[in-house]
Order: sequence, then structure tokens, then C-alpha cells
Amino acid sequence: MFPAKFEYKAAGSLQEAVGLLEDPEAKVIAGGHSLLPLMKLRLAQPKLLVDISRIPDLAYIRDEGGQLAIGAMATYRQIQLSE
Amino acid sequence: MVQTQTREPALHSVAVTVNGTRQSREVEPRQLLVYFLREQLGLTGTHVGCDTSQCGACTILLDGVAVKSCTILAVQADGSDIKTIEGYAEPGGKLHPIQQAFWEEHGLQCGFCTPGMVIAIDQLLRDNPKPTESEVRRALDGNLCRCTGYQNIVKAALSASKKLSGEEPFEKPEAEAEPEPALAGAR
Repeated sequence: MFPAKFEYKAAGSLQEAVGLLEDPEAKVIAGGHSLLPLMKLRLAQPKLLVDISRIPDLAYIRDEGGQLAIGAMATYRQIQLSE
Repeated sequence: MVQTQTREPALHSVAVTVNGTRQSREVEPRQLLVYFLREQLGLTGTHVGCDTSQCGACTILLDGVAVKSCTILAVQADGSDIKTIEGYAEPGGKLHPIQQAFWEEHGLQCGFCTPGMVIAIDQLLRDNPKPTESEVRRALDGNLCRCTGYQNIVKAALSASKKLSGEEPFEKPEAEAEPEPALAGAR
């Protein structure tokens, strides 16, 4: 199965990603394991995918004063293995 | 005013190292990594099972991490180092210890899930060289075998762990051949 056609941009920084996401028909792609199956079934047909996987330092899991902060690129596996 | 036609998305160039060889191709953004490997590079050992990232037949190593290549875009893999099942046996044909263990333990029936199983087990044994049986089963929870041959797959994983640690030789010594039971009235 193939998704419908779309444009792809890999953001190099958070600022760039936020700028690209001004486009209402853009969607973020990280791991893609929720979005891509929806796109294959054509339940989602974004015009632009903004890849955030190349933005450094988004894969964190950290304690922020009693609150747990999980970065957008942290994987389930990392969370599973995290202490 | 003339309506402008919808613009075709630009092609992207993807350069990756696959099983030690540099490869570079132009891809549509929607090209999935598994089809890039199978159709553009001709590496058909990576299988498409469910196409929805559940069955694990398309598992490959992307920068050393086992991932399901049916749910990754080829463009996302640009610049990465990929290993597929074709990268496991030595060029002369000598099997990788995990493959050897599958062979000896009858860890495959139809073989469709095997490439993904081998790679998932490779990931497991690098993270945890001496897994217990239940750790093997847990590590394979993202890989489905529709022949339901899990028992021997788990045995193969445990045997591979011993082969890789040197606890067992690469080749299982031939078991003492059981004498054939004499059949009544045999020639």
C-alpha cells in the first residue's frame, strides 16, 4: 500500500519545523507508526510531511521538578527501558 | 484564469549504505523503505507481510537498530547505514550463527517471517547476550509467525546465544544416530 502523494521536508531545527507547520495541510512525522498506516489507508492525506527526526535533542526522557518530560522523538523502547 | 495543475512532489535523492555497499537513488517522498530495498535495490529478502508495522517480516537494522521498514519512508533513511538479511551470511555462503541456529533447530517452516525473526534476535542478543526463554519471547512480540512455529524459533534464539558466546560450537555436533527400529518383516 502506498500513501497519497505529499511533499516532504526534514526540519533541521525546532524553529524551522514550527515555521513549516504554519501550513494547515502539513503534518508532523516522527516515528510514523501511527501516521503512515493512516496515510496508506488514505484516512490521512497531508500535503506536506515535516520530519522532526533530524532535529537534535528531541529524544529525551527527564524529570523536570517532579514532572516527567518525554521528548517527541523518544521511542516506546527508550521509555520501556528507562529508569 | 487557467487553473494550475497540482505540482508533482519533488523527487528526493537518498544515499544509504546497505550491507556495506553505498547506494543512491531518486525516490518519491511516499516511497516506503521496504519497497526501496526490494524494488529499487532488488533486495527481496526483506518481506512485506502485513504492511501495517505489526508482523515484523520487514524488520531491518537501521543504524544498528531493528526497525520495521514498511512504516518508514525511504527519504527518512537518507544517510543511514542499513543491514538486511542479505548482509548476514558471509560472501562464501557460511551462515551467520543465528541463521545456523535456525537451520539446526528447525526454526523455520515456510520461512516468510524468518528474515525479520533473525534480525529481531540479532537486536536482542546485542542488547542482552544471555536472554532467558521469557526474555526471548518478549523480544519477539513484534514478529508474527503464521505457521505458529514459535517453539523452535525460541530454541534457535537460545542456541544462537550460546553459539555467539562460544559456549557451543558454531555447528551442532551430529547427535549419535539412533539405530533405526527394526521393522517386522523388513527386508
